[in-house]
Amino acid sequence: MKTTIFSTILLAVLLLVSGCATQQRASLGSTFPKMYGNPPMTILILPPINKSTAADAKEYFSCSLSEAIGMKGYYPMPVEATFGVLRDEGLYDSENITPAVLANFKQYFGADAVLFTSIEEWEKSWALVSGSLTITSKFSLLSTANADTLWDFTTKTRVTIGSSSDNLLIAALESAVKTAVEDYFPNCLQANIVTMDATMPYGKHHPGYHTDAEKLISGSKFEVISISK
Amino acid sequence: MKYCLGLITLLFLMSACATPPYLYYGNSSHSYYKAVKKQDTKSVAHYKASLEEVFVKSAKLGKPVPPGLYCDYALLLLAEDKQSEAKVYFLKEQKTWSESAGYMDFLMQRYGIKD
Repeated sequence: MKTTIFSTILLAVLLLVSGCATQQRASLGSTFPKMYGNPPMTILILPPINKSTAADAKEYFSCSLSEAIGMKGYYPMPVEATFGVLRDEGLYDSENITPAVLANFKQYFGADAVLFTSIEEWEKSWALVSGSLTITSKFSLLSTANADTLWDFTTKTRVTIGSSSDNLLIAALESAVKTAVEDYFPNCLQANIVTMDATMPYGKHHPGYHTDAEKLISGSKFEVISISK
Repeated sequence: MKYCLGLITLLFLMSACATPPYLYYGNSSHSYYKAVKKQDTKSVAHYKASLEEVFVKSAKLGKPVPPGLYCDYALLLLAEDKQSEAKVYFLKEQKTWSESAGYMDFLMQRYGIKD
């Protein structure tokens, strides 16, 4: 009996140790010190770079990032107006934006930082009555004063999408229709809000500003997040 | 004793879950996406209505209107040729979020409604 208890405890300890070895945690303050020294207030969200095969992914991100950043206590420059100016100035393709251009965003928009977003993966999968959406995205927040990286993170978010019906046949039909015409905006918004909430320090407007420096995140700046509906 | 500790923990967790969000966005981001995607009169009208709902609800909740939404509303008014009303909303954005002052001036100048 004693041997069994000892073996169980040893196994649990080994599992915990192996978990720690694969996922090192670090504090927000030590990982992103520049977000605490002189944090940005205004953030210009650049048009996301879409490396996925989903044509809609860019718009899903463009329209949802502002809320995700705003909820963290920053001032995201109004996206509709900003994208209009960027189009007129030939700066709509974020791939072509170089550090030398960043200072212009401070001068003309008053932006303290710019947010680069790269959508690496957008995969939908549906089984009979349920499915999932996997989004992998890379974020980098660069200072417009000196092009320093203030914050950067990569997340792989898996959103479980279930049918609203208990009836198997209706659920199967619903999932077939969803696969074809589903509006995934709410899932993308939720993924971005959860990502920012988990990995980005609070901005100056948020009541929690400067209270989260000890919060632990993945030291490798990569996190897998699961969201169930 | 155990019961009390359990109850305290539960209440603590419930209070943490009940923390209201710092801003109220309502359905405005989703409506914006639909307006961008469809670009028809109906979806733009829905977007405009969703912004108005945020203005009313934010006032009721005593929260500031989220960043950029007054500015977005001003752009919708400009599209309806309502320049003077649009200016009111650009100024509201400026007043609510002081860091937007320079950019709002720039936009008002761009759209020819700055004094």
